[in-house]
Amino acid sequence: MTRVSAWRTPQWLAAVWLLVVLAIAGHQWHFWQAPSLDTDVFALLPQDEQAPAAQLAMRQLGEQGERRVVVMLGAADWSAIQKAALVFDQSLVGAKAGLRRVREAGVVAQTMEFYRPYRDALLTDAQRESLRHADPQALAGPALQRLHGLSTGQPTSWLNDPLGLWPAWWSQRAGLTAARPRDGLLWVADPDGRRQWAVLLYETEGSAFRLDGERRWGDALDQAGKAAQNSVAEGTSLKVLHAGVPLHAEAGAAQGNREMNTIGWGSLAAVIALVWWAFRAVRPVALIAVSLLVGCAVALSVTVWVFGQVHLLTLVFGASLVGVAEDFGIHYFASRLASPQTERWSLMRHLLPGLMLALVTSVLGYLVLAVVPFPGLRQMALFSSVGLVAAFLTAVCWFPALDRGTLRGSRMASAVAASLARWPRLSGLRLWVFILAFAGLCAWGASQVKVNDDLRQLQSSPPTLMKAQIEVGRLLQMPSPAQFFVVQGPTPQDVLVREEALKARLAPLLARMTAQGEPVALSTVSDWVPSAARQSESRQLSKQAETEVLVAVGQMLGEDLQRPAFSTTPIDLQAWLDSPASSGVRAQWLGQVGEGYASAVLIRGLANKAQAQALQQDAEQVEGVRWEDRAGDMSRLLGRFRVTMGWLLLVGHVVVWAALALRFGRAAWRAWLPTALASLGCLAVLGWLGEPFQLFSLLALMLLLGMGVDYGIFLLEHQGDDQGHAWLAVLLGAISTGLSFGLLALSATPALHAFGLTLLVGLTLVCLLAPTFRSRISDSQRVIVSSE
Amino acid sequence: MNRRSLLQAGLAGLALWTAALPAHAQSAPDLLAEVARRMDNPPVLRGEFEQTKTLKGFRRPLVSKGSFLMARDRGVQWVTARPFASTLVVTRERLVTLGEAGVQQQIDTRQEPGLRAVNEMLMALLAGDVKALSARFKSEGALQGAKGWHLVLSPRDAALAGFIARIELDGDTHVTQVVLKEASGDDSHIRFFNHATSTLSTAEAGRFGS
Repeated sequence: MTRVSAWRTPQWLAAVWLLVVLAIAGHQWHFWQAPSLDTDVFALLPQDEQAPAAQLAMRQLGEQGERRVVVMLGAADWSAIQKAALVFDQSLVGAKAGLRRVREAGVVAQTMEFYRPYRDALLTDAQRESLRHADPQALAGPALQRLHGLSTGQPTSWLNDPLGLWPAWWSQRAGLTAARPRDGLLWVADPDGRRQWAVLLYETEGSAFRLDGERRWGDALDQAGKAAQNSVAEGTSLKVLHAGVPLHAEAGAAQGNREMNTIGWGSLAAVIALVWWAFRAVRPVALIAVSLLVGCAVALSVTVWVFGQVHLLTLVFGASLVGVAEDFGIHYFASRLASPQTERWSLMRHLLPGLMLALVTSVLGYLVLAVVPFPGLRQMALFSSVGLVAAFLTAVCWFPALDRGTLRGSRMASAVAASLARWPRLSGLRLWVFILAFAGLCAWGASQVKVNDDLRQLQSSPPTLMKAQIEVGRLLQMPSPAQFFVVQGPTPQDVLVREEALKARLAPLLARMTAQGEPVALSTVSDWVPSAARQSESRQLSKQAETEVLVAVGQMLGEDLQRPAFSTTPIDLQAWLDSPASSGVRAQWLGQVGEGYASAVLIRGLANKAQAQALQQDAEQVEGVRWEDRAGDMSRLLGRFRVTMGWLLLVGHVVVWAALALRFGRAAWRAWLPTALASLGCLAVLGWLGEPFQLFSLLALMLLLGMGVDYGIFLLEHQGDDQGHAWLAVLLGAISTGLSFGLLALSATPALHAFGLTLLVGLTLVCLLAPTFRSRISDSQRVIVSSE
Repeated sequence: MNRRSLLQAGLAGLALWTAALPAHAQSAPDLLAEVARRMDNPPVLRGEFEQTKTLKGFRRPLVSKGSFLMARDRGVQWVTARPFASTLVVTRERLVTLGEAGVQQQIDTRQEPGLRAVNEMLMALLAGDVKALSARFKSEGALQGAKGWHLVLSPRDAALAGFIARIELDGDTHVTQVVLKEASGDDSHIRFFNHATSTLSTAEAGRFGS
């Protein structure tokens, strides 16, 4: 009777879990049709509730460049560049790679039409100054001359702009960018004087995230670059640069895909090989592989469900789950090996408390990652925890049902189990000397560790792409993406007025920097929409001067000249935002933020820290202006969390020791010390390898505490006959886990590399140290692994 | 790490009155080739002009007279004698206005290729360099008699069309008449006569600068 009831409940459980898995499979199928993946580094970082305006600015500026690819072709001779540009464009069109050329000519005409009614309200600072002190009679002379001179083409009729003021305003707007239209292209001269450059703009169509590991855009651009190279005469050196967010995203996706495959399949292969090696049967291999697959799929689905999308780095990190989640299956089969006669469901029920404890400690280890309020780490923590739970449930619900027949095990497994007996064991004075020597050695290594909190740890773009990006940024004098001013005020007009005050305040400093050969310039909304007060002042000045000039010229020529009417209202900010005239600057208007309004003032040509500091100091005297250094803020934040997590790690060790002491009493140190020493060892190895110590190394040490202590616990829990079999399970688990993290250490993303490396070193050390500290139990020398 | 391409910023406002001008194939290659064949292309060409401007808001046209000098590959000097004396010197690198009291205004085009394009266009216009013009304008027209020709140029590019609606050129061995219809509605009608070829004087060469 009892046997029957013991069967019924679990079968029901297995069926329920099957339904869950089927639902997940459906979701997975749906998800991979169009995976919503994120590669943006900043998406991994915490939202700064203290600075919503800066956060908004980052987002808007980001969205603006999200689809844009910039290509630059440089050579000494312009006509060669023109030809190369034509060939480049044709090659790219022919490749059909989803890159569409952006032409701005239409925008130029529309922009001009937008501003035409406000011509009288748009004056440069110099013009305002000179009109304030102008003598109308002196202005009439040049006006007459222009009237009779050779017409060179003006944007307005003479009557509309008798003093010829507008072109100067436009050329000042044109001065806000380095590139100039020339022969249907955009042209920029290299400051080094040796090259000229053509700028071609493209926009991507479709998504970067195919995850097929291919660089569609990158390859097409490389191909077009080669075609362009071939088009120029021999001896002409043509330089081709590509930059733009989509290229980084694509490179990231291709790299993420590669790493995910390496780590995922590599770990899987390792697990399969280990399981085969230990059990010599297809069933364990197949079932463990299924549990891993289900674990990863559920993890992905739940992460997507909770976060809306999943970051590429989460997937790369998550791939290492394969090496961790196999533990449950291995324990189950190792136990089957130990007691082949036990009925499967009762064996599982017998194992359940131990497996549960292992699950809880590992999940807790991962969840510590979520303590840091970084969305990226929370994703990784959630992914890994859910994956572990799902692999656990798969093992618990399915293994006893699907596992039939007997398990013979391999001779190798018995040999490994027996090897524990021959492992050196330390006690007494020798133990103390060893611990002190080991700790001393590690302290020496750890003293060489260099701390690094740079945000770029999360960045993994290929160096050539980074170099091209920096070069393009220099040539086009692109504004810094992470250092800017946020200007705030109670009304939109206040924001514009404060922007103008900021520009006036910084003008002398900017002029000084430019004179020193390091030109720095601002890009503001008020360059394009001056404050209403300023527009009205300009309108007054031009009206007065032009009316008088028209009277004077009219008298001389015997004409009755009427000044045409201009708009009586200032430029409407919303109308400007809605028109093509604001394209490119639109993202800098942040709109309503909290109680008031805000805009971002960008800085072009910022080359060093000293400049940034000087600007910051000067600018913060202006009301409503705040300096934002997002990259710096984030790096400081990483540093702060590194310190906090350092203390938390110490607290964690104390808590773990206390918990172990409750269970094992005075023997608790045997489970705890291997992990503590291994953590020290990790620090030392990082120091010797010259690897920077960072938040992510510390988080890895947290996870090491969660996993490493398990190994000690297992050896302590299974005293006597059992210890050899526990050792086998520990060793198999540790090797596959270590391998997974070892593969993660190959990641090109510095943060993941640090995480993987730390765990690889740490787990290896724990495995070596744990048996060294095992207790002496008389009958522990005898091992039962019943293979016969 | 520039994720945020702000290249767009300011592009909208790029040197608008100078325009981006794509180069295209000639639309009427035979006509243009024949026009080019009919024209002299002396190293230095000088002559007189009479310009009549018809401007919006003016009842009477504005007439000015003077002389011009066109030195191949160097530039143009536009010397207005009446009703006000002034000289405009156009080279690829500069646009200089000389008044009675010397230089009134000088614009360097080396950093503004758009402006340079305007200067090149002016030079091509006065020299009747149809090949250079056809890069920027669609041309129509006809040959007239054994020597004459008439061309109507319209801008290829929308941005340029914002300034110039149409240009009409008449000539034989030289350009004899230019009608410039600006997009704003102002028109210039320039007649050239008394063409002569002779070398540059030292003073003239000096005005082109080095």
